[in-house]
Amino acid sequence: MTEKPIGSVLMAGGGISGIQAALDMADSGFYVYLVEKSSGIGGPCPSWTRPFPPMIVPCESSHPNWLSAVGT
Amino acid sequence: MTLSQIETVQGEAGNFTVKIKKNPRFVDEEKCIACGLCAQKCPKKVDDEYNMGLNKRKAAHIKYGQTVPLKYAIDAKNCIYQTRGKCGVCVDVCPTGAINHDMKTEYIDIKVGAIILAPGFKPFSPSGIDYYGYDEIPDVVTSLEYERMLAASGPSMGHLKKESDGKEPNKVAWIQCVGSRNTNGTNNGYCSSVCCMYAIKQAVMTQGHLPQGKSDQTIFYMDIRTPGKEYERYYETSRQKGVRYIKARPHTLLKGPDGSGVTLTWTDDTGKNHEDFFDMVVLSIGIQAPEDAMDLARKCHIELDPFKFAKTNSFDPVATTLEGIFVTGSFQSPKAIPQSIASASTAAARVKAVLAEARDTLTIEKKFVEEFDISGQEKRIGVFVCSCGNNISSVVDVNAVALFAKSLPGVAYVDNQMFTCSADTQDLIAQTIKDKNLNAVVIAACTPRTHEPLFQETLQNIGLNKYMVEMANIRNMNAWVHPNEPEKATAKAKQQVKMAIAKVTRNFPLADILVNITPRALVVGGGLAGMSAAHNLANQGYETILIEREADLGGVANTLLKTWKDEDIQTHLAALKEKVTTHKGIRVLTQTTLTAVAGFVGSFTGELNVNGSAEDIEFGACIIATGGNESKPAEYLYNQDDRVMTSLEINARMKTDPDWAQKITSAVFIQCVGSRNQYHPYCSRVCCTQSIKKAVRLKKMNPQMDIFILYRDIRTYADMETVYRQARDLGVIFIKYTRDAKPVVKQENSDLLVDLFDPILQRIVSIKADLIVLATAIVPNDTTPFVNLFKCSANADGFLMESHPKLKPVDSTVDGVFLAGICHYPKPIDEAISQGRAAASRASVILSKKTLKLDAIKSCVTHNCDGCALCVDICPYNAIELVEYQDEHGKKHRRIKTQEALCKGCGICAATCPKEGVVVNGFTLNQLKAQVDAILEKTI
Repeated sequence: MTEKPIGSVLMAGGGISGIQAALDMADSGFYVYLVEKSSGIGGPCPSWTRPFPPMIVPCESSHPNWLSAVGT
Repeated sequence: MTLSQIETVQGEAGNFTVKIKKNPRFVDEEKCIACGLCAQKCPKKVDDEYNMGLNKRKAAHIKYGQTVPLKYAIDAKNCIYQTRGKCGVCVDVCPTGAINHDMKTEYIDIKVGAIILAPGFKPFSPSGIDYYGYDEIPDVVTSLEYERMLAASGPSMGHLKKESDGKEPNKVAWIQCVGSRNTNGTNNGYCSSVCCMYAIKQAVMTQGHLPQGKSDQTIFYMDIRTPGKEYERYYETSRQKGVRYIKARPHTLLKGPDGSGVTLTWTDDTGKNHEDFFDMVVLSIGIQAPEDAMDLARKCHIELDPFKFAKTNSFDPVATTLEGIFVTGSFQSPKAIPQSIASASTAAARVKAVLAEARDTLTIEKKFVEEFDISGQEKRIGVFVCSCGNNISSVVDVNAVALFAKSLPGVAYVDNQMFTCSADTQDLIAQTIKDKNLNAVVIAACTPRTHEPLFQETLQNIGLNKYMVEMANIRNMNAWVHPNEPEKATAKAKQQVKMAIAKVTRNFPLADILVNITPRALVVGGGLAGMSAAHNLANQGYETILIEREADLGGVANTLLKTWKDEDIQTHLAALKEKVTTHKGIRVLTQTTLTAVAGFVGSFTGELNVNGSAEDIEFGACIIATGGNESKPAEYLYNQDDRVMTSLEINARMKTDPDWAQKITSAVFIQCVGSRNQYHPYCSRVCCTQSIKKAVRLKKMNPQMDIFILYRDIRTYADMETVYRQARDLGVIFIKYTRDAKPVVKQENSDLLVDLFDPILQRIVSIKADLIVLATAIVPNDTTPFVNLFKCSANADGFLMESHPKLKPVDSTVDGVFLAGICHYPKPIDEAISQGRAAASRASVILSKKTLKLDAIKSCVTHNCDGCALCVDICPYNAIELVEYQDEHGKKHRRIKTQEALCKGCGICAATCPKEGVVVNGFTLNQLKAQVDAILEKTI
């Protein structure tokens, strides 16, 4: 463990679990890089029907501490 | 970063350098307005992964309508231009010049303190396995394909159709454990945890899709595994609704007589063969580690378990084998949505503790310019009408709507946009507000539910109060539902815009509410879950008070010996107790209870009873982890014969007398004692694994011992299935019984006998036992005090309720109060620890801020209030109280007062009040009346 840690985190995977972890961290003082292999976040959950309720994915650009596109 | 993945990882916890490989999208995200023209004109059709290949998408595509980011991508593998250098029609049709076929793969180095891996899972493919007939028989589908068939947004728009002849299927069968619990030909010797529940759900949903009374659903299973919260009730209800359950693995699937449907053959417990015809067969496919698991593990220097999931341990369930790298979701082990979300918060909690020192060093706080004063001004309204590509404009005449809006009083500016929500339009709106001196805005586009925050932010960015915008939903509530009536839709859109203008005319600036946050957490309950929560919070740097009712910490974990992975619980527990009691950030109070609570999220006050004396405390968030215990049975000669004992009692016995096992020649475990019945209609989740683990231990200590486990369904979900297989290999005998034919325990002379019907032998067997272990139901410790103190909810079984059973499994129904451990539902210790830390993460989201911002849509008392209190009882959030005040003559009156932090702005109070004594800001009766009048054309 290094002495002076860096206050940013790499969240590899933008499914339901990755989104939740990213939000928890970005909402409490950490800068998050959310890296997703496919062209959009959400994972497989949006393809499941009720009663697994459809996930409302928060608009990524609305979160100041959440970088999902390099350069923006 | 989309289309991106980890290429290399270097460094150590606190300071990693990660090289990210970013594959080209061939579409400039800044320029793409998601109009869809590229996909419309793209000539290359490929299977649509989102719909499991049931329909086609184009090489230029978005994953699905609501995908984030809503930007098209060109799939290089299939694009004709990318593969053959020809075509390029997308470049010609794109109205914004967003397509760029020259984009290259980029490599980007980022520096991070920690890494969380959540690569998800790979569904098992039944292709190539001949006995399932998936490749040969058109009406054999996978559960994921069936899921899309059931979906209203799916390729068949929710209409079930057989692939063979396009007819509706009446008889549908599900086959469970396809690619799970199977080491024959696969390495999947674990349970996928989710398939039983989704199959039951699909069967129940199928009933809703087909004509009543005509349809027939059958589930072929090995064990029905519904050990989650409320799952057992769902299973029981499905039986009552007529879903048929057959315990068998069909061994032959053949195409039906005329090429349609499926003929299934299976053998029952007695060895008798059965054959039946089904219109459709759904294969309940399991979850596998992601395809690139090995590659990812190598790049991240972490170890995998034998099933290629990330290797973790029960006491730190989200930590990989490399410090600073964590895992969540199905890559840890197969899990359902609630456990995935809880484990996500657990991983976040671990990261936040590791990087505690660096908190707030790299984050950016959004700052807005100062608001300009619009008080006393006449309204100058700007109306922006959206075409939404052609989503709206293909039905509604947007120009006519704009022209109409221009004619309305107060409207100073009207414009049409292709996409009102695009980034450049936000700049345009902001500039127009400045140039035209607008002080109110109407956006005629889509739903405020998803887009209002965006437009509010646009207003804030230039200093106009964010509550000066109103939306008219002319897409979801109009164009989408009236596609065939463009004229009527246009007329309706005009009325919707007129209503929004009527309302915004009466809008006035509102201020968001700021609540000061007390940076201190209260954890109630000093068991494993509570201690894990407190320890994590303290490591994150938050002051924590941990209270425990008993004199000792540890709770029910004090009576446990080993996890199913053979890890020693007492060693871990002792270390955790030491860490918690010596941590400077934790104040441990034993023999303490919480006796009173007031306040709301961020700012609670409470009263403690510390060993008889009262103490007042303040806290910003609370975690309830009050635990549970095993119930004591009143059957099977318990308390009458000391050879009959409960699961926890045998632990105590094994602890005090290690040689005791040598004296036993025959042991019988009886499962579901008091669980899954009318008294406790839920599954206690942990007992199957615990009994089997004990059986394995006894068998290893004394291989001569005969061990029988009498069960209803074995529920060793996820990788706990391995211990079930181990027990069978060691010769433990499993006999299934049903709720209607329970085992009978009796004494004959000095012998203890267990009689039950063995479904394999088809006769009653009598087992002589030296020891009978009863796996009794797990019950929560009394949760009523918390229901009363916090006004949170508990279910019929006494377990505290979560805010959302799937998406918010750790948050309670009250803001700022979180749940962990058995008070929420019975769970093994890894899940209890995980949930404790997840609750700590959720709580620290609140505690990390100095103030909490709440929107201004709150109820507010007016001079008309005479304190009749009708609204007090009706408020569902207990946000309204009655207060006394004195007027200038010293006369006492009563009126209501809203606790703004509790109010959700639902408006029930305003609707109940007979005299406009209470209104909801932003939705006053005056505003609502103006909208109704607008549509009735009485005003404007």
